[in-house]
This record gives sequence, C-alpha cells and structure tokens, in this order.
Amino acid sequence: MNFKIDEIWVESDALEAPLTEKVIGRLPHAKVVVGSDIIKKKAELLLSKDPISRGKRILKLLQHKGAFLKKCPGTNEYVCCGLEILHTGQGCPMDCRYCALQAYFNRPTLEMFINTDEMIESFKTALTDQQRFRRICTGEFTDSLALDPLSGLSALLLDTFSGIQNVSLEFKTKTDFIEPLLNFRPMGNIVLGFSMNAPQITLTEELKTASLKRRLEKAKLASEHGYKLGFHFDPIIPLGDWRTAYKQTVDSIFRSVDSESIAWISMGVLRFTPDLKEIATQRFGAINYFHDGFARGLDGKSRLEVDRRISIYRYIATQIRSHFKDARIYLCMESPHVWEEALDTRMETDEQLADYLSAAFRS
Amino acid sequence: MDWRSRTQLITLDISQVDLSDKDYLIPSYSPLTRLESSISAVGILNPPLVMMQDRVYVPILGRRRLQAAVNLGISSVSAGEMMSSLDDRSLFEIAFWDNIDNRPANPATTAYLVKRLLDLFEKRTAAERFFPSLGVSAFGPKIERLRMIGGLENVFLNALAQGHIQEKTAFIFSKISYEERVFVLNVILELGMNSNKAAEITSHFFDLAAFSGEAILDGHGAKLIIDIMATAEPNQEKTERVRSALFALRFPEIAGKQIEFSNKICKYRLTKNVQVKAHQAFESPGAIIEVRTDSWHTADSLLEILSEPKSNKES
Repeated sequence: MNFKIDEIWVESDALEAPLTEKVIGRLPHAKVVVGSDIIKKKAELLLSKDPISRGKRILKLLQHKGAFLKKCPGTNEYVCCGLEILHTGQGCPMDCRYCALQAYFNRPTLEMFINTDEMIESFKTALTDQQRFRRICTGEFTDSLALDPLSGLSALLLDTFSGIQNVSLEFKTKTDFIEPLLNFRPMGNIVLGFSMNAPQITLTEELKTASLKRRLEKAKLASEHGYKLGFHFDPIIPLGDWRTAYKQTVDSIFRSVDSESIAWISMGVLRFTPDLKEIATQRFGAINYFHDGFARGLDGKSRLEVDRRISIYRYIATQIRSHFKDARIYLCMESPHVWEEALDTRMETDEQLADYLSAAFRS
Repeated sequence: MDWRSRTQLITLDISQVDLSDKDYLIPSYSPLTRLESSISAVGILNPPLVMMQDRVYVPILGRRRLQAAVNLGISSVSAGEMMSSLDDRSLFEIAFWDNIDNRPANPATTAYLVKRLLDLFEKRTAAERFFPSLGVSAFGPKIERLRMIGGLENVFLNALAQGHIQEKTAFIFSKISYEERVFVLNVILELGMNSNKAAEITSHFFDLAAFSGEAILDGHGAKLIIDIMATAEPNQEKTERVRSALFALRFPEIAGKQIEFSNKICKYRLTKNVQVKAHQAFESPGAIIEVRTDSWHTADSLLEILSEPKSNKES
C-alpha cells in the first residue's frame, strides 16, 4: 500500500524543521509549495470539484499550536470510554465513504505536525505523576499509521512510551504499515488496533484501505511480536445478510490471532451528522445505507432505532464470545440501557467504562 | 465595459419581444402589482434594454417592466436597443449588476443565479466576482447545493421563493425526477402544509425511495398518500395522516413504540398540568413526566414526596 502525494505545502513555521526535510526527501516527486503560494493553491483546491478527494493528495506540514493531548469528542448523553487523543495531525489519505472526518474538518488537506519534540515534551509533562490509568490513541483525527512511512512517528512514540507507567497507547489503523513497529520489543501497554468490518463493506466502502486479509496478517505478526491487539467494528453497517457477513469477519479474526493477545474489541453501529450524509452523497453519489431508518438520537446524530442496534450488538458479541468467552467487548457511545440489553453488562458511567478497559493491562 | 455607446433609443413594439427568453434573466419571484400601478400612474421611467436576436427582441434589462406593460395592454414603449453584440457573459453581467441590488434576497433567486453564473463563468470568476454580492461563500458544499437547486423548474423555485418549501426540500427535489417532485409538491400545496412539515414528508419520501431503490411513485408511500388525499377529510387531518403514514414506513420500530406508549398513557386520566413524554426516539426505555404547578407550595409538597431522605450527615 502506498498513498500518492502530489504536493507538499510547507507553512513558514515548518520550513526549518528536521521532519520537514525528511518528509520532502521521502517524496521526491511531490511538488513543494511554500509561502504565499499556499494561499493561491488553497483557493484553487477549495474551488475544485471535490476538494476532499484532491486534498488527500496534498500533505501540509505545519507546527501545531494547540494542545496535543485532547479528550475524545464524546457526548454527555452516552457512555464514553474516556479515551484521550494524541493529536499528531489530521485528515486521512484513505477514503472511506462513511468517514465522519469528511464533515468534521473544514480543511481538506492532510496535515502533519512537525513539532514532534514539543509534542513528546508536552505529553510527557501531562503524564507525569498521574494517579489514574490513561488510555491514549493517535488514530481519531487521522489514521495512526497511514503517514508513518513519511513521519516515522510511531518509532518516536514507542521510544517515549516505553518509560511511562500507568498509560497505554493505541495505534488505530486500516493500513498494513506495521513494519516500523516490529523493530521494537513492546512493553505490555502498546495496542495495535485494527478497524474491522464486513467483507463487502470493506471492499466497497473503505476505499484505498488494506484488505481485511492483509490487516489480519499484520495483526497476527504484531501479536507474535508481543503487541496487544484491538479490533474495532465501527461503523457496523447492517446491509443485506449482515449477520453472515459480520460472523465471517469475527471468525477470521479468531482464525488469525491468538485470542489472549486481544486487549479489547469495540462495536459501534453507524451514526452520523446530517452534514455527512450530504457531503458523502455529493462526493460518491447515492449511498443506500445513509437512507436506512436513521432517526435523531440524544446527541443530535442520526442513529438506527435502539432495539435494532441492540440486536446487532448482541449478535456480534455472541459470535465473538463463541470464540473468546472473556473478550473485553465495549460499545462506543451507547447508553447504559443498550449496554445492559446488548452485553448483559451494567455500564452506568464514563469512569466505569474507562476502568473496565484499563483492566486489560492489569490482568 | 462600454455598452451605452452601443445602444440607441427606439420605440419598441412589445409584441416583438420574446419575454420567455431567459438568457439574461435575473429572476424576482415577486408579483408585478406594484410595478403595474407605478407604470399606470407615471409610465416607464427608465427605458428597458433589448437586443435583436434571430428576428425577435430579447430583454436584457427591464424584463419586469416589459411584462407589466404587456399586462396593462401597452403595445409600445421607449427602449434602448443594443446595436452591436456583446458576448453572453458581458450581457448577463450588465443584467446582474443592474438588478442585484433591487432583487429580494430569496433563496430561489440566489440558487438560480449561482447556477447561471457557474454555467457562464469559470467557478473561480463566479466565486470571486459575483458570489459575494449574493451573500454566498466562495467555497464549500453550499455552492453545489445551490447550483442543483438553481436547475429546478420555475414552479419549484417559485415555491421556494414563496416559502412553501425550504432550501433543504428544494435540494431533495433537485435529486429526484420531475414527476416525483411534481407529485410531492402537489401534496404539499394541496394540503397547505407549512414548510417544516413539507421538509419532513419530502425527506421521508426521498429516504424511503433511496433505501429501497424504488422510484418514489412506485413506492408504498406514494400509494398510501394517494389514498389519503382522496378522502374527504379536512386538510389538517389529512396532513397528520400523511405524516404518520410516512413516519411509520420510515421508522416502523419507533412508530410501533409510539403506539404502545400512547396506549400506556391512555390508561391514566391525567390532568392537563401533567405531561408524559418518551425519550428522544425511545433511546431509553423510561419516560419524562412534566408537572406544572400553580404555586411553590404545591411544588414543594411534590418535591418532598419525590426526594430521597437526606442523610444525617447532609442535614
């Protein structure tokens, strides 16, 4: 897998950074744009027919001025797992038709933050003398590993994390770019999370991503190397004979990896803001599943009716538990009622869910 | 752009003007009544501008004045005639700048103009030179949305301009066939639905069709609605039946729960100061009970009953 980058836009504050030089060196065919030319290029991009598609081939290098560590943008109405996001950049070169990022950002280019020293420092400071266990992830506003061949960030993070207690780091990806991670002997607190879906959904909706087979081959390799694994069924899209399709994926996970290496498995049925439906339809034409019975949920997002979601979760959880009885399954942004009905688990608060997941590192 | 030097004043026989020609149309969607009164009283003060094309005159400026004159039975007026031809873009630009400040700011006019400008000019030119005057952002998905709406037939743009439908409804109309949008608009107008209800039923029709892969007119929803429309009920009741029928098709589980919930509530003889509501989309199984009291004394008594006893430590 490789993502084509046509242009590198270098903001003036990123010109001298060592990472900038490294990235430009690794993309010898990309056109480098600097200074006021970026403004012209940006206007051209925004006026193009599909700025999001074009923006996926433009990499912007810049200094991040805000906080590097952020709370995952959950909502109060549902139980949130309390994950924290290490903000390394934004945008993704892959192109999932359902991707929430299409509506989330108003800047269509890929962005890579080149002030990695500051990133590491600020986050070391944030994590000193902490009392509670913290789970951190890099793959919320971008894929954790998609631009890793250019940035080499995973190696830097693995180096940093090896000395920090009471914290876990998850790389979430739809790529197969795990090779740099294999140069490390991971401590038990590093999770390699793979996004999973029904085979047909992966094929038709997750454009430019690694195939399920590749993801699972890499998951196996990573677990044999000592990494803990995460699997994320999110978004679940119940199309056609979805039961058979998702069962097939669950079965292939457990055929591929040792269940003991799995830290957690998450599930989330597709939910979206009204904007996403419009933007995705404009980009890809009619997308049938966005027109299913999605009604406004407590957080303002469109969600399938609660009993449908429960039956979907229940079914997939049963399939998972048929292979691994003690699997640490969790739901992303669901209510205590759904937790109870789908997983027979009382999960009332964010703290409770955070503890449940942190326990993956105590067992 | 020097266009005045290319014009001459003529006495225009209005029957020779093709008022259906839309090349330089800057639509208004407002009635001509006031303009007609003005022309009746003082005549046409500013001469319209026309140009001969294929042996008929086409209006560049003053189309509404000419139409009002026709309505008043006036056969000829003084007009400027553009003698040497400018290209379509330049002529449209004259019409645009002449009209843009006195057109009512309605979404139909905006959408029509966005579409026309994008047909005539490069996107960048349209965005930089014209869109700011229309209050349209030069960037973002809104432009495409307006372009699609702007391509709708006049009857739908008129419905948008008059507030019978909202922009989001017009956008859905732009994505369905002419026959489908005529059907949906007829339901809306015949029942006199407000624009919120119109938006709701349009999106139900659209989602049901898009999900099933059937055309709106072939779907179960259309058949149900045709039956409802044929009844002799008052429009208000028909409207509610249309809404319920489409809602039940689109969200069968929620509609079922609503009936179940209503049946549960029916068992109680609630006074009008007590309201029982379900959670949004039945996301949680409980209910919200709202009690309005006339005095703090009553509220206090109720709260006493509902509160948990305070522990010794707290008190």
